[in-house]
Amino acid sequence: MMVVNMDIKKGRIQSLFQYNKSKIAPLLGLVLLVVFFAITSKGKLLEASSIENIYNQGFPLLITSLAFVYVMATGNLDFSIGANVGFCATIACYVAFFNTKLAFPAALLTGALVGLINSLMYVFLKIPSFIACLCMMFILTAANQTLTGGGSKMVPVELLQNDYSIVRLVLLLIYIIIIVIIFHKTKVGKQLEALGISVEASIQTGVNAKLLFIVSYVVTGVAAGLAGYLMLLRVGAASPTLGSSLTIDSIIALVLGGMSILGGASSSMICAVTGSLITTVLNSGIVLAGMGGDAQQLIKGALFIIVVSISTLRESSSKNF
Amino acid sequence: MDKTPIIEVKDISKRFGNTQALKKVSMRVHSGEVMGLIGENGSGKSTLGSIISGNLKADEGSMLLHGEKYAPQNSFVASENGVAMIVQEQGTIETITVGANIFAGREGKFVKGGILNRRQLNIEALSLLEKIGVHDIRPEELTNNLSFEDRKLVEVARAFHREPDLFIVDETTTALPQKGREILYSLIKKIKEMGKAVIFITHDIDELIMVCDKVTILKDGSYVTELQKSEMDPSLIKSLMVGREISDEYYRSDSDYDDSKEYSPALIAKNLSTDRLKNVSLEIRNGEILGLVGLSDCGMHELGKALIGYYKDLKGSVAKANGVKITNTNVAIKEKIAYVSKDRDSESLLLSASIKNNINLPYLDSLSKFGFYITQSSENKHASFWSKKLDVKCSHISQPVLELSGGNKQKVVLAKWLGNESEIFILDCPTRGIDVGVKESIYHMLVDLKNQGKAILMISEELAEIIGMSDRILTMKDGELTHEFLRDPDLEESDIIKYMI
Repeated sequence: MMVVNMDIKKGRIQSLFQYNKSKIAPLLGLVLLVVFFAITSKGKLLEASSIENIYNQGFPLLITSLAFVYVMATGNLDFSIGANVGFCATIACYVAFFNTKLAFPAALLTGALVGLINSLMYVFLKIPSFIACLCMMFILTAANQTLTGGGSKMVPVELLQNDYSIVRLVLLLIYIIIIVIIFHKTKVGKQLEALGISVEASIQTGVNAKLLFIVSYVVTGVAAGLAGYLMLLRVGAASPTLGSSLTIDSIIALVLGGMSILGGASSSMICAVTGSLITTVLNSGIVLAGMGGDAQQLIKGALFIIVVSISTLRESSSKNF
Repeated sequence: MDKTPIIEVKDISKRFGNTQALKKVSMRVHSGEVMGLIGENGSGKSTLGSIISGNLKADEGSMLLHGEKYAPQNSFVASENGVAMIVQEQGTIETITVGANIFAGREGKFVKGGILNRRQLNIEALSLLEKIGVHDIRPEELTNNLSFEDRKLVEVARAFHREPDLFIVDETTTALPQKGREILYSLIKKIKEMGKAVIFITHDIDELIMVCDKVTILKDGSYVTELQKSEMDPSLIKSLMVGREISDEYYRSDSDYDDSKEYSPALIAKNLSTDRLKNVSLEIRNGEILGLVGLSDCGMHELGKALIGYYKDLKGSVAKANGVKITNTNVAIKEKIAYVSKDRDSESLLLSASIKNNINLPYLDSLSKFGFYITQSSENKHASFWSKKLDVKCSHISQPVLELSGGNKQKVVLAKWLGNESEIFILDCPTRGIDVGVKESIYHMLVDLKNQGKAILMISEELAEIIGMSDRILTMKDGELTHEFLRDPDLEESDIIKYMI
């Protein structure tokens, strides 16, 4: 009897590993990256100040990439998320001059509205989501440029008097808990994943595809609002380029984290966490290790390739070329 | 016969995760031979075909082609060596034209100075299609626009064009209408006469006996025996495959329409019209199996989908007995209607998702605590209960469905709908591509459901199954219902065919 139990247990662990390889390999990549930079920076990477720095630089990416999982799970992408972050920050900045308390809800609402418009273009006008979001990105970038007058727009001083780091930590934790639970513990996440595998089969099994596509884009919109507001508080000013790199960074983070760009069964929140950590550690590590200067981009590119190849080892056996 | 076989397979073994798909299987096929390969779902016959055709690699064992060592890297290398296979499920590239599909990987002969001569390619494709007896498919057509059946014929043309020495046909006939089957049979004959060999994988024992010279029987991945043509007997083959006696009569035991029972209506459709359906009205009743039969393109498959509110441009109405109008698939599933599509892999299943997620998908609301929170244990409990109940052969409920065999996939589909407490079942070709063992269990299940008072519509192209299982039979032709039969032991296939053609 014992032996049988052991066998079942062993089988379970085996299948656990087998079906989660795509998530375990990137974690391994992250560990290797941390070890590598811990050594090359002579331990500086693990000092408290560096870790705080990584947190400060990495939180916007964590916010956007977690939400990005919702969209990418269905096989779509949100190309407007970075521009949306900047736009929400600028709107929050303007609103703060009237009432500092309204700045935060205004950012969330703006973001959500942008996401809603994206999804309506996709779901009802049948514009490919890729095009819809790309156009939205141009519109938001232009709007942001105009509103900020092409330079920085300082926030009112009263907005900065809040105890920033505590507010940020609390908001971040609440956000992570909610977004993870909805994705992994409610039907929303499971149905988004189903849509990414097969829209046809999902519809025939009772998934409300339109509604879920809308939900996914509203989630990235709200996340853009949150990231925009927190970045605004941190930087103290809105600017035309604030957050603009977050679109590409989110996509890269998720792919590094082991998620398929086509969505579906590989979708998981852990991909966003691992991926945004890899990206941020890589960025800070290069600086701390004193690498680069002019060659910094080159080193970054090379390291990316190494990390990706470690985290994609899982597939090499099944590919025929 | 002591001449060198075209293909010799020696002690081939293959594992998928925890499942041993093949255990030391050996087989020889000689020139001019049609070798049948038969076994239950999951017996490893498709796996063996895939290994010979280079789509999979064996873990152990060796193969000899014309007496020389043969270990293809992929299907392209295999076809260069004269081995071609037509697969059970979709094997065409959908977004390119028919002509491009036929010559995929061999466009080279139409290229001059780096430019592809599309006209020439299409001309040759057309003559090839004509040659095999297909007259209504245009090479310029996008493969996407073809029906599932026609896409299969395109695959046949592609495989035949290469004039392979060894031609592997994997359950292709289950996807083909009668006309397509005949095309394939005559091709097989031609190949045989040319002194080449065919491996014919099928579930249909009658077809096997008609087409094959020899048959190799597999069970649970192991070689059982090889039979010569003279030894082939349907009940012997069945019992060798399953490992126990199976009665010839695996349909329902009762043979008359029971008019003492009150059949209350479950789903009522009135005047349904689309571009394929003409003013169809019907009633599915509780405690009754309603059979719907016709030719593949008569509109019966569309009717199945129309009943779950799938078509937005549907005229007419579908309503449940409680008055709820079925306007879209969401409503249908909330109203406990189950729909099993003919195209199992792309419409009824999330192939890359786990067995668990497939079974749970329609039932997520009921698994939620406080209206939204789904625990891992409730998911596991529901999925493993239903996969055990239907005896899905798998290593774990986290296993992706795409690793399962056809019959086990269908069991997952049925587990999903039974788990969702469905009351009305619309089953489009529920036994397509499924072997006798699982078929029998599906028929038993249908009778159980009927006895529990559930309403069942079974759409099928197989007359024997329709006659064997239905209380009432509707025939369909050109989008219209043409006749209704009641269950009757004297009903002959020919009586029904009259109303289909």
